[in-house]
Amino acid sequence: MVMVKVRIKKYGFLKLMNSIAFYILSVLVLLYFLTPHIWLVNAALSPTSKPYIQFVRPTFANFVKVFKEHNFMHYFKNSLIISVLSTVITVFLAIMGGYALYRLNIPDVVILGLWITTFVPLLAYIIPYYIYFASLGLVNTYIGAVIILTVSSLPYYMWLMKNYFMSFPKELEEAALIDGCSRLRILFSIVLPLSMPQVGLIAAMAFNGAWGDFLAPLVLLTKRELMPLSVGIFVESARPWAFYEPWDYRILAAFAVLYVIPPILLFVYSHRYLKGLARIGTI
Amino acid sequence: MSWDYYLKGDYVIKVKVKKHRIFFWILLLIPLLYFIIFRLVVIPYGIYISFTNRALIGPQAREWSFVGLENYIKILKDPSFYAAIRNSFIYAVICGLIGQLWLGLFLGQLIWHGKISGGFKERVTTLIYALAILTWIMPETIAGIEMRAMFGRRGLINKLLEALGIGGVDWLNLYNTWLGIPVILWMLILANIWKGCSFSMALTLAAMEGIPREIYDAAKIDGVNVIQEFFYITLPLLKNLLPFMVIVLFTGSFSHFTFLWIILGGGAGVWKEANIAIYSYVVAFINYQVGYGAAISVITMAIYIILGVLSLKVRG
Repeated sequence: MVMVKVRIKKYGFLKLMNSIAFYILSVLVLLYFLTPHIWLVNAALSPTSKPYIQFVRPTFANFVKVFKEHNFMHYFKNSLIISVLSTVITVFLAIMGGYALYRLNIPDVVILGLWITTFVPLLAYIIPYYIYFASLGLVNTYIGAVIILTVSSLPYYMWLMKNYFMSFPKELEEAALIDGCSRLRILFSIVLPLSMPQVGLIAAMAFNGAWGDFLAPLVLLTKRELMPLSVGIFVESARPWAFYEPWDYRILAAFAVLYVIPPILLFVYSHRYLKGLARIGTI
Repeated sequence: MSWDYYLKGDYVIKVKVKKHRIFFWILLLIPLLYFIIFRLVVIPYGIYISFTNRALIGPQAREWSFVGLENYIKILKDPSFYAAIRNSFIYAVICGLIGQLWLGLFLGQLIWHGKISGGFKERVTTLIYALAILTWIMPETIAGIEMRAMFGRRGLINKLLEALGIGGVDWLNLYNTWLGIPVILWMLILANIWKGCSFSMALTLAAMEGIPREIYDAAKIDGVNVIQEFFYITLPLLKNLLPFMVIVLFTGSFSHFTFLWIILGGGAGVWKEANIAIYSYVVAFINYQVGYGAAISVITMAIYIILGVLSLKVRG
């Protein structure tokens, strides 16, 4: 056996240049993404309301104020009610619809047809929604906002569930059926426990959507008692006497920092699944 | 009643299988009815409202009448509507087709480069990835506040300019045009590129996992740099993904409401021609002309349904 020593050309200079270019680009990108977030945290901790970075003694006074004077917990409670309700309803309907679509072998065309109507953003619907819900007495109720938030991407979630169910082997359910299991029991004790990852992902997406939504509560929930955080933070930090800046940035930033914590936590929990979802989206 | 056949040894066993079709139709009917009652009904209802001169409050809220196509004729004569729809198109084309798409592709490439290099580079790019995704999942209201703090009169960019000895500019009140587009719209475009480029980045990265790694390893031995890697390897391999990404990004930006509403300061004094979404909101909920607003919404809806069909076609 003959050993051949191969010398790989290293291109020392080019490699160095390559690394330098990489680090310069990385630092620029990091600054690009980070600067606004740094501003937000800094403004929340800052004693003055000037909207630029100014590292002075950080105080937690704004957070204390948000809790004591601006009633953070009240808005938080409203946000939580709306988001949890819409998550539960979305998940429930998506499982039901997805399972039925899968079992009835309904062609994708039907669900994609429905999906197109959800392609239209909420703003194009909001005017008829307002009048429609006013006549149903759903304006200024949690239910009205929850309905709008749950209905908006229901076909998409149903389709996702259906695709997930299709990956199960058919024998699984047939075996249970032969053992005398009822259909409802198969759904609850065999299919659902197996599809928990997908259910969790849909729940995370629905919660995030409901938590961050601004337009539906802006139009439908005009009473302060019902407002969720997304609208409430602007109402609480409004400066009606000010000429140019409509909001007090210290209060707004303190609210904002607390407001983004749940989506971030949710993301940390669900990002493994999201990668898979991005792949589904591309194929 | 249906039968299933199993082969067991030399025998064919015939088994009666209950299909329970009615049970599944009921299961399907509940979400379907929910969707029809609360979403599909709204579309013809919106068209119906667009044929009336209904108002949100005041006497015309109760006593309104049919005016036929009057609202649509009014749209044809409305310069603000033309400005709004033109700005919408400019915004969506520049954000989606140019800004977010290319920046996202580039970021995907950068992160991928770090990932296959390993070591410290991988850590740096993981941090970039986390930050980009954080920017993306952040509620649009909060991202809007941050962007207003960047571009506002006393914002960070002006602070920087003042430090350099150049007087600050009130970016969000500047309607002078640059390249035929108002400066304020340029600022909104920059803001949206920052917020939205992570989506195309995530798609790019997901697609790149499917590209054989050996190609990049071979390129690395040849001393290819990040930029060459992008143009000569990644882009040709992602060709099939691009049309889908373009449509998704375009539709995402075309009637962007929340984000722009916050950046522009919200309220009655907002720049109403920024966008078709903002214009229809202002018409319906600030000027109280619900009928007219509904007509604008119907046009938006039609544009979106065309785009939706197009995206399904592209997706195949």
